Amino acid sequence: MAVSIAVIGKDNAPLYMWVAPGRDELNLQFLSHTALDIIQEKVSPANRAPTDSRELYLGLLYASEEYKIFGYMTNTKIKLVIITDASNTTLRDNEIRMMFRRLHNAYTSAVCNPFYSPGDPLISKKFEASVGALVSGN
Amino acid sequence: MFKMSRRPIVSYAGDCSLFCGLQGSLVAALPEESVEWRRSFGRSSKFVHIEVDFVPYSEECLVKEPGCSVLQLPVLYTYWTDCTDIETYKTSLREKVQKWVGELRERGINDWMVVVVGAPDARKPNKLLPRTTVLDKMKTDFGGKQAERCVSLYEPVKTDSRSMESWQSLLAKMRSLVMVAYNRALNKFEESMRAERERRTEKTWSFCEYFSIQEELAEVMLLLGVMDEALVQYDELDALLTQFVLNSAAGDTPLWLTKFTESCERWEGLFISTELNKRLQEKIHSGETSLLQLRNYLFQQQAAVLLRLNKPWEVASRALSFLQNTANELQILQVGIAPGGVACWGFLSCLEVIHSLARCSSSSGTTSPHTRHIAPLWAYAREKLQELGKLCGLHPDVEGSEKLHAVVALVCGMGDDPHADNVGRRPHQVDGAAPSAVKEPEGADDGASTFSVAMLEQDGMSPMTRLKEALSSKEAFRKHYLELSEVAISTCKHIGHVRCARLIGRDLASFYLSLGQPQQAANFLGDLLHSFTDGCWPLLAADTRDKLVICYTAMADWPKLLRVGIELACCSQVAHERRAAAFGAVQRAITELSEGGDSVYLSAQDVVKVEEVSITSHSPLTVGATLTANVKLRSSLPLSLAFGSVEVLLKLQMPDDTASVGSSGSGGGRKRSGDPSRVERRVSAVVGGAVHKHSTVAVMRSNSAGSESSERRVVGETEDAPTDRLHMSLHLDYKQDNTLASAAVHCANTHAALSRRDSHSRLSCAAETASLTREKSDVVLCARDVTVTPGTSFVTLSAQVPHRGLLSCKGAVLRSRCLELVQHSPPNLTGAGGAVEVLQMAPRLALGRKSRELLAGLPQQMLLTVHAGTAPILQDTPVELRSSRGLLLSPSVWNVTEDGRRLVTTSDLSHSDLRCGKNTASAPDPPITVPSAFAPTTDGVTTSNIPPAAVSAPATEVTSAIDATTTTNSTLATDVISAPAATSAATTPKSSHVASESAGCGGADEHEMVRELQVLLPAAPMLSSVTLELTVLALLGPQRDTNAVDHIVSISSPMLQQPRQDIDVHFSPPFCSVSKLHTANIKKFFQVKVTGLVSECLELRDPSLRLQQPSSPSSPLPLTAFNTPNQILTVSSEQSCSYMWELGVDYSTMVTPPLKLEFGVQYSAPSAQPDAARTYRCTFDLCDYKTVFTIKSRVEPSKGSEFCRAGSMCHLLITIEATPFPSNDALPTEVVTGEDGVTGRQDRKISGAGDSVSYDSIMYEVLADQTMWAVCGRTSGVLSVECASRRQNVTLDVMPLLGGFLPLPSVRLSKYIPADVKRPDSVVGTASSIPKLEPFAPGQVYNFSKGTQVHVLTAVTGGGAHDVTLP
Repeated sequence: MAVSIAVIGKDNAPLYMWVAPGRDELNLQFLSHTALDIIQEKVSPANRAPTDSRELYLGLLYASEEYKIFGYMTNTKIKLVIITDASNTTLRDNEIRMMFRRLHNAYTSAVCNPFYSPGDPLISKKFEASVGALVSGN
Repeated sequence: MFKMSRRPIVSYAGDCSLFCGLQGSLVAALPEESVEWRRSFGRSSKFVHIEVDFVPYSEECLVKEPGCSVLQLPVLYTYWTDCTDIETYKTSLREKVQKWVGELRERGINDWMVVVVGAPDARKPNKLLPRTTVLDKMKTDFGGKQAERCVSLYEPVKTDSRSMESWQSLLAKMRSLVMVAYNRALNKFEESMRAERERRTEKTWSFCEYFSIQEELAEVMLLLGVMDEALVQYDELDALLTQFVLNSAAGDTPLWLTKFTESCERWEGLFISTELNKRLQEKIHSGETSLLQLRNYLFQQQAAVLLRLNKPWEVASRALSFLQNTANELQILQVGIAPGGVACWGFLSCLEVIHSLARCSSSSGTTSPHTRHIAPLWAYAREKLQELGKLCGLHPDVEGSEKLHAVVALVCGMGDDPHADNVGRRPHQVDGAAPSAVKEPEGADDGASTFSVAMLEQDGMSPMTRLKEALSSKEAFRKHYLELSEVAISTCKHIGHVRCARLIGRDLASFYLSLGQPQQAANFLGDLLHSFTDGCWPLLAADTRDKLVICYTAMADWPKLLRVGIELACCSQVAHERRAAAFGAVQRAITELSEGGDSVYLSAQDVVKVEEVSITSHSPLTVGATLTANVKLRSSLPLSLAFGSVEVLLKLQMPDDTASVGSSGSGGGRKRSGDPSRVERRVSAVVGGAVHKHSTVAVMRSNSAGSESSERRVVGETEDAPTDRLHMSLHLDYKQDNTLASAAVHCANTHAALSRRDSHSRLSCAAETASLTREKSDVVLCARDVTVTPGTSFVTLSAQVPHRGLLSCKGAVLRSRCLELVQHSPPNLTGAGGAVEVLQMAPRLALGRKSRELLAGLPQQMLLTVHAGTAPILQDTPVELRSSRGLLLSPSVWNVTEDGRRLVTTSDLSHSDLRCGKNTASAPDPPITVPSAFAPTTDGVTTSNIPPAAVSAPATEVTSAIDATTTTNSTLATDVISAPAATSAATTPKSSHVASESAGCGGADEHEMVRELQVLLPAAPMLSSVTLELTVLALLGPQRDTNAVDHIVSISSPMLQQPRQDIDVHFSPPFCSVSKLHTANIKKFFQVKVTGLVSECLELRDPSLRLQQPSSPSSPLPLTAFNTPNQILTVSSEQSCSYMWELGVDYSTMVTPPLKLEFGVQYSAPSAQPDAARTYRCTFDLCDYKTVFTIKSRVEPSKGSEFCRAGSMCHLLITIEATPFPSNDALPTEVVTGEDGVTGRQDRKISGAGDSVSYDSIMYEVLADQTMWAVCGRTSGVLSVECASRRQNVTLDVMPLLGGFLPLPSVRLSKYIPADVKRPDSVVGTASSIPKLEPFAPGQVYNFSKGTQVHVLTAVTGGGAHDVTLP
């Protein structure tokens, strides 16, 4: 399914990065990083319709010939970025949305850990497991 | 024929010549007004302008040809006639029309219309009986329910209002009928189209056929001006095609699709134009195109519609996904295409879209909305060009000639330039509205996009010419590639996609690097790096740094190489080999830089961090001591690095002036601030870690808030430090009357202390740029030549502490030749709770009493406490004690320690001084020192200690009173010397009193005691104290009152800062003695009363009274003691005792010599040994102690009455008699009790009574209580002493006012000194003179009748009166 999942903090520092094995990690990180531009643009009040202010899913941010980059931003300005193969046409928008929702839930339970201080990199076995389940499509 | 126009067709029949005359105006007039298009299936109705094509009616056009769509049939059938004559109608026309209608009905066509042209009746109509017209007839014949289908047109050639009206109504009718019919036709068409689409799974179905059908609908919509509907048709086609391709990826490839999978040799770019590319359309309909062409066509059509909708930005936004999707589809279908073909197509199409948008924007002026979408297009184009460049070997790093054949193949595939006719011109016109010339960039609001457009336009290159040129040579490629990159970057930046722009910059950097321009590359990479370090993307940053290392190495920019190399080497996410390589670059940079000499400052935070500083030197830390600390270093470097020095800066902050560091026991010097109603006390408590044992209590002035806040700011920079303190302050609010209104504890810096610390701190660490300032007061912990290994290592640092204060960590500096790593965030300072205090305390001396009260006259214990301060007390540090006169110190000094008492070496200073003077002279006769406390020295220490000018009491003690003791002393001394002292006499020639351990408590005798004493202190460590027990004796002088005995002890020691320290010591006297003189006529008695003043009991024995003056033995004054011999009396504060002596006063002489009597008594504490008793002496002075006059007075009733009665006159008889002179016989004395006190302190200089010359007269005064006695006549009078006899009587009339026993009126005698002494006959009452009265000394006048009472009867009852004398 996804080839990369990134959780990026509100100060645009990555909190968690997952890249499918065998992929060009550097390139995917570059894509996640560049996605911040579009997220920033999408969530800026000028571009955002007042009606969808509660919609966290930002949709397809942009696409390259190889990858599609989807974005999601929580109310606490944590950005979630999912990168899929552009050739993967089986993934519907709704499925991506569901993935984000699950990822968000996983993130929420991870930060509920009282020993986690917001802004630190996420190091959590449970979160890793959730992401693993997510990307394997279960 | 009609196929291409797609207009609705209207057939005409009937009078063709008539119609042809009208056709032109009809075609022109029909679209003039819009007509409502009511659409079926609930779609919203639209107003459209309708254009129609007219065709002549024929039988064959009714026949539906196979493959001919519904839309190619006429939608409306019209019949035109100008027959107005009813007869003609009936005969010929009716039949014709009937046939026409019949044919139509046969085919189920209901959309017909009959138009009757011409006036219904040329003649004047009969108004009474209207004739039926042809129209009416037709309506009845054919209309049926659709009578409105028959219309008449009145005189179209005329321009009068009636014919115009008729024309307009015809048009309106026609429009609506056409529309209704057309709608019906369209619905039918859509139905068939849908049916066709449903067939798509069938094998014979072809997309191209379906494409032509749906496109027809789209074209119809375009014709009707319903652009969005047209777009929907194209979008549906697009989606359908996409779906087919996607399905084919899943293995479901229909037959028609296989045509598209054939290899493709042409990759023409898009050509966006509103004109229909009919050639391509034909090819598509015939199914002879490639997928690329089909896609191109589809997008072109979409773009055309969008441009007509004036939505150019949507073209832009669709363009990228179109390009990407198409490339994807080519891949999915595995279309064989030459390498670079897709890239070529992409590049061309991309630029075409940009161009068309530029044209559009320059015409409409709406640039900003689509810049956002253009930016990715630029990026895409750049990417494609890069790809092509690589393919064709045009990159600068590719050696050798470019691959010409590849270029040629690519150029071939591009086909013809659609802009060929425009080449060299300014951009061609998109549509009629586009001006031929491009406007100049409008304004600066859209700088980047206008710039990019302008850049493209300036050479007027079509995309293809540009591509061809770019592929022509390396130089051209470089030029175009750089140009394109710049445009892409600037547009990305313009829309705020900085990261995108920098990512492009990364590619550009690589390009520059291969061009051999590392400087340019470094610029882009630097920007890129900046965006990563901002957000902490380690992997990306490492990659960028990797590249930067290459750049800087090429540029030989060593400082930057050093910086970047270190950062890379310390990146833990990077493989060790890369880090090691970077470290090699770092070392090279260091070597290169060391020749230059300039230092490079770097933040040590992520390189070699000082994590912990633990103070290892022993606490407490004192000034000047060496501070050593163990420092925990964490090196992130992959290999060891040798540092020349490792320094940790400690801030040494002086405690506040008001802070009493180290004297917290004093309770704090509370200071009232300027504002009396407000006291702010700041208590600084160490938060976190062990609290230092000295909790610092500081009192702050309220107005010093400014300084505190500045201090707070300093602390704020070191937020992470555990030394963060809560600044608690005490607020006491006082009311106006200085009573406390409220007390509160206030924390001034809650905001800073409780502020959230999350990710911000991390960022601020990264952005730390402030340099570490080094102040003079800072303590620098330093170690030299340290090799820091990767990971954790420990280094020991040391420093000297210059002054006192609180140490807190400021930062650290590590130096390796020219590299200086500066750490700003202070490491943990452990072992001392975050801050280390450097103490500096002067040694202090204190002299205090041991017991509750110090008593004079008895040996007392005092404690001399020496606090060492921060310097240890060295062995034999001398402390000199000098006491004031009358205070003696015992040389036996005890060191009181926890485990016992020990004697301390002392030396008598005064003696040693003396000894020094005659040191050599008296060598054979060394002063003898005696170990026994009971054995005083024989060399007169005591006398030498007390100078002759001492107060009287010790002097007398020395001179006369101690005769006996002196002798005993000498005997004792000789005893001692002869006996055991021989051994102990071998003491040091220094003559110091080497005390023995036999000395008992308080047993020191005053003869052994000295006034100056030097004590040699035992050694003591710093911050401890030595307590010495001293025995002191304050000599007890004559004590007549309760005043305390004050003394001063001066202490001097080289330890002390001030030369001398004076300590006031107060001794309470144990008792005091008061004397009293008692008189009985001429006999005198002397009483001494000893009153205890302290609660302790003292035993008194052996009282003695001795006449000191006159001391002539010729006339001894006999003193007769009334005291019981050997009696021991006890005095305390509750008990006093008295001693009495009779003075044998000699009345035989005239003179009364003043007497000085010395009272002496032995006193001792009850527990003390009897021979420890000390002698108390006190002298009393007596003068005028002889009795001069005696007074007798009595009250007698008046004559004739026996008793005194109240209210009746009585006589007061006063007899004043002088005491007999020695010559006279002694008067018979009456023993009457009475007393008069004479205290020895009275020192009035009045001549004695014997000196009768000094006064002639005496004055008597009768002083009566006015409530009891009424004195009649004069109450006073002057008597001459010389005249008459020695006895004088005075009688006064007095009247008792009360009954009972009344005290007699008292009589007072005074010496009367007349005003004018020269006149001897001084008479009482001389007017002009002021006589003087002088009282007699007590004891000179004796009143026999003192205290006598007389019995007075009450006024009413008569009775005898008695003189009653009460004792």
